[in-house]
Amino acid sequence: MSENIINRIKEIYPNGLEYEISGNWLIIKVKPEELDKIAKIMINLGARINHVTAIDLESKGFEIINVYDITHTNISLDNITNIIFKANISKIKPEYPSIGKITWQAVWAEKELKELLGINPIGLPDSRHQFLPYEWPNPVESKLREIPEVNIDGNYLQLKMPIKEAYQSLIPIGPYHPGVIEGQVVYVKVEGEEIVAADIKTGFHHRGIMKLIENRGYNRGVFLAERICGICSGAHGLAYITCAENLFDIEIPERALYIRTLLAELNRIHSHLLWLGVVADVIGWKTGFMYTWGLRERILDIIESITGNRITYGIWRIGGVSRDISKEIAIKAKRAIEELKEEFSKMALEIANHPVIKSRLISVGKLTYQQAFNGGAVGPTARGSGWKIDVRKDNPPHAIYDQSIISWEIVTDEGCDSYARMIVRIKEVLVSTDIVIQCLDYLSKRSGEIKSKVEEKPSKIEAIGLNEAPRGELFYYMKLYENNSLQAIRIRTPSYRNNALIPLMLIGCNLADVPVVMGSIDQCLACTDRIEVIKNNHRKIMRWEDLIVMSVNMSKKKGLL
Amino acid sequence: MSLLKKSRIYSPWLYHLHCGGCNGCDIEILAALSPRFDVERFGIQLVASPRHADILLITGPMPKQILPMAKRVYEQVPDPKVVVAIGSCACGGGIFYDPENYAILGTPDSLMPIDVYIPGCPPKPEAIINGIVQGILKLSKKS
Amino acid sequence: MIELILIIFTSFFLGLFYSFLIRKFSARLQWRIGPLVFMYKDLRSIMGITRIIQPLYDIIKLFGKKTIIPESSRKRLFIYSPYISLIFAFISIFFIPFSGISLLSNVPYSLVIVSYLLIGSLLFMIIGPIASGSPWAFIGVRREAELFLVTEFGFIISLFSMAISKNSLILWEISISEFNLVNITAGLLMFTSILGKLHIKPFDMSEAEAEIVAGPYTEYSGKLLGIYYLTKIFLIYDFIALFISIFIPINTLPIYLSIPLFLIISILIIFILSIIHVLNPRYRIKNALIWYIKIISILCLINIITMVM
Ligand code: SF4
Repeated sequence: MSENIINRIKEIYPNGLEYEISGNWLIIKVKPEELDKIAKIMINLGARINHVTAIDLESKGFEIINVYDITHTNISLDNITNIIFKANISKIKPEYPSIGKITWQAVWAEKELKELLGINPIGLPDSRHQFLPYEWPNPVESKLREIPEVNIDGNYLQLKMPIKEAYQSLIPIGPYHPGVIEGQVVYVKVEGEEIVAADIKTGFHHRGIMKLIENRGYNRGVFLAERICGICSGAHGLAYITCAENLFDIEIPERALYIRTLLAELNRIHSHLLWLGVVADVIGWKTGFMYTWGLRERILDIIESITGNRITYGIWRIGGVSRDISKEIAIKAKRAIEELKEEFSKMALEIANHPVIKSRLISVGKLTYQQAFNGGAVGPTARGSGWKIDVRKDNPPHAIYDQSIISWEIVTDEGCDSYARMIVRIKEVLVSTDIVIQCLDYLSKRSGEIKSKVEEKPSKIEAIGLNEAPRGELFYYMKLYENNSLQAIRIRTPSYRNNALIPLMLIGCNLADVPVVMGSIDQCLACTDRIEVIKNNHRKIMRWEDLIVMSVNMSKKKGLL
Repeated sequence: MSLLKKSRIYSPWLYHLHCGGCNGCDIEILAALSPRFDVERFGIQLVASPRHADILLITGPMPKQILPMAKRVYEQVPDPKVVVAIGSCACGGGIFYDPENYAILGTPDSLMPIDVYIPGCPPKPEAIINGIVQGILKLSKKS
Repeated sequence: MIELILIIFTSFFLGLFYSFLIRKFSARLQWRIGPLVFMYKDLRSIMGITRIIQPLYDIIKLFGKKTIIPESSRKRLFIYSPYISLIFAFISIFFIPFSGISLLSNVPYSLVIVSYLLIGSLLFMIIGPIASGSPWAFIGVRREAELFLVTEFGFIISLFSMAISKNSLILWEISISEFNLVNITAGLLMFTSILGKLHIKPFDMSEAEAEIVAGPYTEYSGKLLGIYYLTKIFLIYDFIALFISIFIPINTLPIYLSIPLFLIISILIIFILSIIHVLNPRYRIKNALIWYIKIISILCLINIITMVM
């Protein structure tokens, strides 16, 4: 079996294949024209796209990077978990055949390439902007003010509505809407109260984080990474550190690994409790909100006693962590967590059996296994559709998730609806409390180093790092210059994937269910809108007075103003 | 103190405007509503429509894309009103501030007058409540 | 005459007290404290001594704010319907007996008058938002109207089954007549209708803030919003007083007994309403309608059977 993939790709490249193995990744150099064929082969083999991105190599053009996850296929190449395909394209004609036309998983990523880097994936089915306002020009085609016509035919998920309808549609939910705190616009076309078409536009939280990290260097980036999203700050920190450590060959002390696991899981518990509260609020159940947020305060107390902060932890360091846990705190925290677990498991039963909650969540926001797979859902959204993916097992971050050391399991549910996603999250909270208790057990009994020395020079020039954030798989990619400064960092957050599925889930729902569906995937727009790759020479296009005029026009057109 | 001024102090309604922050501040605002901090003791409520609000809470570094909407929301709040900027981000860009960063404005100062600044990344709910109280006191002085 | 002036203040303060109680009870049931009855000692100089009249402060504050009238609205309807709604709700307090005091409820056809006044008040609460031109208000109103229709069905049937079984259309006569089985069945029917009319969860879908912003009131601000809140205060009093006077025979008792009894029973009702409010998420409008039609038709059937017997 192991030669399968190489053989298949060799069909396209009869005269030798340039590849190299680095860590757990197989890096293959290909021609840009072949990218879509390769994607077809990989998807047919059951691989999953982690991310599609590109790096500006300045005078040498762009480098397209496609990362696939092969842990859930029957391709087995020793300990290889990811295959990275690379292709170089020139700056004069930045084009390559789109992967988005093969699978929906890549569409948002390719839109991002198009609107921010100016690379043109040929045949991309939905070429409107996702993160910039529709009217903004692409950096390369700066004169283009018209919106390209959208081709709505395609042989995979039909997720979008034609652009004209998007402008006429009856109800814009957002940019400010109490159901979702953050700004976004979901256009829904309704007949009575039933939704017949839906479309989503994000990007109102575009803050330029990746650019900032590139400017500040990989040592200082972790603080920014934590502030991509305040809810899953722990997960972002761990993913960033995993990625940065993959650049080096270092051994991380065991105690540090335990502390990391502890914090990541506490983060997950707090995030899921928060989610439960928000969904309860969305379906009008203030009591549920108050209850879960009350419980959550206790988790935050534990986090605060460990790190000194409630939301952003600031203890992640390359090579370890910066703060140790004393025995007393560990014992105290363990008692608190055990109490919380007991209380929550009682309450969770009540919540799961409440008739009105059931009637609001069951068969709302249907997402079948096949749709989840094709659309590239991640995290609890995918697991709620019966797809057993979990990065903690497939591609573990630098923490203790070895199932032979710590007992835990992946939770899935076959329900394929919002209720299933709720059940998955409730069970995950219980699983996470188990992990936390085991970690605290270890930490209260042993002592040891928490940080190892890091060499001056990284040993690799590129690395990827993954982590299972509360919302799903988090992907970091870093590339260094020859002189070891950071050339590029690419972040793909879980909501990025799941948000792309919202229009699909909304169709056929009741208007009252829109916030429920959006809530059920736990979308986090602060995560989604983190991108920035525009180079300085394009900045004058986007002078902000112009932008205001443009945005006002846009809003007027949509009837927002 | 007239009854009107008193009731302004006694019943401040908040509208929460998220302007591109990391959610850290936003969940701390919501935490201030949760049982442990319970601002309803003092009659503070979170409302859904800016038209009902007295106090506008702003979080985040104001990405330029959201400016027109944010300004619009500000205009929709009926007078007298008070704006409270929550978090280092809203006070001046915080960690996202960088002269190179084209995507954000840094602070809503040039867009609307800010009455109270609450620094911290994120500020604790206690600090947020304190800031809101300062805002309320300012509100009672406005006519 | 003096009673008629007194009832204005009584009903107003009782309405305020009831809406305070709903807030307080729900807060207590949600592990919170809610508006404080006694303010903390060190904060009294700024924050006042008590918050029992918190709803009144809200309303006064709203009166002191600027009222924004949206361009897209039909101005006259938008501005006047809150007032008309308030007037209807206000007038109806005179026609509802208050714990043994008949007020105007012994005029002929007072039952019909009350039911019309209450319907009118609710109708203008619906018409005003339609004129505001906001899509959210429109959806909210649509839900409100659907809910209004089903609840009205139960409301009217319950009122008139009482009228038939007591053989009178005068509210006062009904309220002092003998207690029998119809009181219970019709009372239940009325209670379920009141749930929908006062927007107790799970029937608050017309104000569902996570779905449709503030529903019908999205565009209202300042004074006009204050008027609506005032209307609500009178409506709460109206419904509770109506419920007690028709279905619970306290009006025949002497006043020194009936007034405390009225208070106790009304607080009990508010408590039950708060429990229902706290325990339930909100229904989708479709589910709510189905629930209502099911429950109301069953209750109606039982009601009619008891009436015939
Ligand atoms: S101040 Fe800090 S916590 Fe608040 S939004 Fe900004 S980065 Fe997030």
